Amino acid sequence: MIPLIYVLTVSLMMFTVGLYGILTVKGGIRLLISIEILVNSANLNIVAWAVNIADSSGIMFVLLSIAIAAAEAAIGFAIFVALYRQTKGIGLKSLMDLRW
Amino acid sequence: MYQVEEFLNPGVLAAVLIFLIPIILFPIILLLGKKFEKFRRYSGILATSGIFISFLLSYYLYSLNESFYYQNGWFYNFTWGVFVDPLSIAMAMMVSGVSFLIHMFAIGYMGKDPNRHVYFAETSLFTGGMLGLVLSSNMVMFFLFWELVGLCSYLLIGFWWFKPNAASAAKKAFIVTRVGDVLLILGLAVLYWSLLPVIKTGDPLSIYNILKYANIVPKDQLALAGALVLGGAAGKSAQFPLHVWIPDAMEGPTTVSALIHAATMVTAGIYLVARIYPVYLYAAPWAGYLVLYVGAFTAFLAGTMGLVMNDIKRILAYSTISQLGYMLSALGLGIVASQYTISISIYHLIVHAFLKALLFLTAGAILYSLLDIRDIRKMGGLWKRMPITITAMLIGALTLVGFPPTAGYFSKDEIISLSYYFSEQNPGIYYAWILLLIGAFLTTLYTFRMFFIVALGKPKSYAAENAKDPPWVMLAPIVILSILSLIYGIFQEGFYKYIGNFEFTLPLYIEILPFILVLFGIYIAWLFYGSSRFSAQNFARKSGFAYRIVKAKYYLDYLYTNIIADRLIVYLSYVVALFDRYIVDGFVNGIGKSFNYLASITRRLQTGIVQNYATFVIIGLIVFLILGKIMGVI
Repeated sequence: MIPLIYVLTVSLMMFTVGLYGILTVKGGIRLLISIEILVNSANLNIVAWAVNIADSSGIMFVLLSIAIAAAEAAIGFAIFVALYRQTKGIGLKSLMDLRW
Repeated sequence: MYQVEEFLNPGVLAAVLIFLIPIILFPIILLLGKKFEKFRRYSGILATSGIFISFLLSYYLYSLNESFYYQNGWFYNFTWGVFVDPLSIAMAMMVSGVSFLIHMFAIGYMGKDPNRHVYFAETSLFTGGMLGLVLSSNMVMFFLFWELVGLCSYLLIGFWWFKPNAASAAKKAFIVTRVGDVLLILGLAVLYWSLLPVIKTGDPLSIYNILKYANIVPKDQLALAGALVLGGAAGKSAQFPLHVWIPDAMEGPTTVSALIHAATMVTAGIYLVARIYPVYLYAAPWAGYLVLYVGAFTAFLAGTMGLVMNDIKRILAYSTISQLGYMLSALGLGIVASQYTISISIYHLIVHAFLKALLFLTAGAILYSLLDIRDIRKMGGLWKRMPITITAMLIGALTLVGFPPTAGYFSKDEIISLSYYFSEQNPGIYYAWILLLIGAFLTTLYTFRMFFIVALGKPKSYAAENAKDPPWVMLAPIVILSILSLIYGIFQEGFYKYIGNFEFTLPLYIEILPFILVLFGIYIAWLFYGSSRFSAQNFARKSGFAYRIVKAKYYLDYLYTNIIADRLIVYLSYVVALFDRYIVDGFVNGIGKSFNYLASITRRLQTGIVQNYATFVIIGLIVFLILGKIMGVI
């Protein structure tokens, strides 16, 4: 069995990559990918702990989280489709209306 | 002497209602008249009856025969309330009674004016303001009513605002009295600060406290306060050097001149000095001399100017100024001699209100039937054509000059005798006696000049040929006022006893000296204007220089307008305007601009890019985590 700490390290690396992604990327699709990476790092973290303490409720919870992540990705894509219709592009620069 | 009353006391309620009823009528008449065209003809009747109720209530106060006051907290340490004593009751009865008669006359006089509801609303407000002024228990409340009557005076002088003369006269009256009002408010401030340490608790400007504690205030402070308050009184009562506004104020309707600029409002200044009489009585002596000589000099000066006017209303206006000078000097005499002579002054005030309302109403009746011709040179021969009016005018003229047995003989000659009586003990008063004596002579001269030119001779215009007496609604007040002017002398003793008696006796030749001068004056006026023995034009030409000066009103108007206003005030106001524009406005705008500038920097934080916000959130989270770790919370 893989020691817990390795899995948590992978999870932390994924989280850092995802966080870096949502703070810096310019494109809409990349943003969604970064969010997926963040969500999955959290899922991995929960699963690792669930296996470690031999409690299956954590695994059930992660299944739910995956379903929600799918729904969230769908909504994200829907927003970007709507944005594309308005501005002919899904760059995050085109979402800058909320300012002074 | 004065007792405090609860609010729910018939006397207090009556005193409050006296001035509230006419004030409440103001919006009612104004709005009803604006809404319903047909109501306008009844506006005069409504206003007149409201003021009649005030008169009845004043009579009720008189019949109570007691002095009391009511005070209630207003703001800070000031109070509001009513102060009822013989002085204020006498004034309230005079104001409401004369105002009632003049309103009645105005029903006829203003009957054809399309805006008569505005007129009656404003005169009603004025009457309420004047009654509030005489009944108020506090100098701050007094000052508010003082300004209210000033405002009404402005509105009513400019009632025919489409006449340029009337509009500028209204402005002039407002600005000149404003000079006095600034002095008055300064005087009240001095009075406040000098009474405050004396009374310790309570309202320093309550009239009761002023009357009670004036004797323990330092004399110099009282004299300063008194002199400044006298400035306010001089503005309102048209005393030298602030008398210039009254002759111009004659541009308003004649009933306004009768009500405001002859009988009631201009006496407010006299009432003010009489009201706070102890302030002058206990002040340093120079304040008393100031009151005396302002009054006596005005009485003399206005008489000389009245001689050369040709506008019937302006002659009466100068005579009003002169008679107000008599009232003020009667007060001044008492102050200089440390005696209580309010009764003599107020008696003349009331007699003057009757006779001057009478003279102005007869002038109004003449203007009414002569279609607004005001130049006496275009009248003449009116006695035959308007017998009742001109007879009433004769009665008014005789009362004004103090011909026995009219009321004027008992009121005005009393003041002249009083000045002689006091000058025996105090030689400083001697010149006032001479000024008042000459003033009486001049009064006779200009009054009978006006009367002879108007009443005798041949009509000098088409309108004068066809003049006739006005309708009864206008004649009735004239008749009532002439009866009052004739017989009011019999109330002299009773009136003096009511207000506060002061008795003196003089040798007979001094007592009848004014009367001899009156006879002499009537004779000279007859020589010049009644018969054609002498020609006034020739006389005026021979005394060219003096005539020119008097005709130009001693160049006071020129001094005020062309020198003080144009050369001084205009440049001063440039500086003030610069101060306002750059310092006051700069301060206000500067606050706005600084916030604007700050915002132009800080709003850069709101980039609109969600990722920036997320960055801040994460940085913030990290900072909190580190802080928590350092402080050992986590």
